[in-house]
Amino acid sequence: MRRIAVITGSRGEYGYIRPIIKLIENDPDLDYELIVTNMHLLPDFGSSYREIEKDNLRISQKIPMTLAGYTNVTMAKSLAVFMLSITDTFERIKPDFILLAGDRGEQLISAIVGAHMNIPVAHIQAGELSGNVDGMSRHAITKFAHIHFASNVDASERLLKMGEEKFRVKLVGAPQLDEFRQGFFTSPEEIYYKFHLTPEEPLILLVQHPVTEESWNSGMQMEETLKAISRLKMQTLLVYPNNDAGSVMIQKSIEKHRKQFIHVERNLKREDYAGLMNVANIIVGNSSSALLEAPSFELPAVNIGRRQIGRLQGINVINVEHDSEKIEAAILKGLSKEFKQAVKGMENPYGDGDASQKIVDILKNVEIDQHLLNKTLTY
Amino acid sequence: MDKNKMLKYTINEEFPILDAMSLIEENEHRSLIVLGDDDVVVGTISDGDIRKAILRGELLSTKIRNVMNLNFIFLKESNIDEANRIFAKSRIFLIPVLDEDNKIIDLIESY
Repeated sequence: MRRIAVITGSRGEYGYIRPIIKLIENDPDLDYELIVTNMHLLPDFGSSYREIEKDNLRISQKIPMTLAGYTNVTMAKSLAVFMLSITDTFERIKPDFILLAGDRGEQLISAIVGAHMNIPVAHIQAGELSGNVDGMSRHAITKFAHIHFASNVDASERLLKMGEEKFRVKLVGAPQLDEFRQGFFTSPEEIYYKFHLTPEEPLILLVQHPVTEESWNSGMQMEETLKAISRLKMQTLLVYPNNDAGSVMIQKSIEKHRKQFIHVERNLKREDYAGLMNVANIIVGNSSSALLEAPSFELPAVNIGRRQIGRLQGINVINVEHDSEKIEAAILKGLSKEFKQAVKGMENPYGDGDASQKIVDILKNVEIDQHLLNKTLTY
Repeated sequence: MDKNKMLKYTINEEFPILDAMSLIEENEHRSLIVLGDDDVVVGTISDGDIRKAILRGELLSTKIRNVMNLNFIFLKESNIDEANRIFAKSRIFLIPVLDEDNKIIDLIESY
């Protein structure tokens, strides 16, 4: 039986891996060891490991790693803490495969450690572009990983151009879309009730995270967005930012500029977040969900600033800088009848819903040998 | 606004939850209005919020801002009748009255 170690540090990538773990659970030839770290263990961000427990998944190891402060310095130092612990955890668990997702620091560290310990590393959402230190981490993971799961053609071509061998690159689509395909999201009635929303009014879903290399400016950036929202005076559900450097400035900006029609949520369950995308009229901010998941709901998106720069986008995305007037105009455009018509029936460039099964099949069947473990850089 | 009411029923978000507990113990209204900078109301905290926070592993030194309730009931003017209607149907004991910028201008307590 193959044992797959899975690392998750934020609710973002937990969405990628949950459907995969469910499949592993039901497969007699596979087992999983779930390692939970970083934001999942932080009360400031809703202690989302409890969500994992509620999903009845078995957590093998919790690794608290985050130093207080959420600055560029503490972010880097926290990774060092994680590196010490994950090495011992891998030594104890002795997994056959390490499964990583996305572009966060703890994923990169796990890849580095896996490669050094001669454990094959597989990476979901490989080869994409994201606009800050996350983007650098993603490509660094590629160099340490043995199997690359690409969610779209663009990403798989980039992996080849990075000098990765063809047999390592697997075009499977984006697994976080699988659960939506299966209708795994909260019903509109429940969403309206739970979040005290008015169904008759249009709804803006606002999710804006700090951009690491512009963290000093994250409060001002949030202010621009909130100014636009304030002028529009539309029902808005705002989701608290992640814990990257600049997070506290965004939180302070929200407190200062929050209007009374803005509903604030600290941490949302994934199915509720999807349920909100399902009923919202537009998503605003810089979350990757505007590019990845929103197309499956034919949801117009206003993508602000650099955070998602260079990532493959569908026709639902309107790009705009951190400027309240431009943001306001973009929101109005996204809400227009013409735009709504244009996104109707759109194709999601990240696939539509069978990636998890493909990933599990590959993890189960790929030969673990020197051919897999010894990487040749073709370029 | 009445200074005594402010001292009795409000607390800054940067204080630890232990301080919130001792204020709640004295004010007999099971909750506090949480303020950020410039007397802007940013949340509320009740003894139930604190109990839940402690049960999930929070420390007494955790800042209020990390466990407070972000969505709260408020009024835009000091309307006692409206406040009493709210007290009657919901389980809250304090209602802040806010201006347009969420600054606290009054606070109505239940009896």
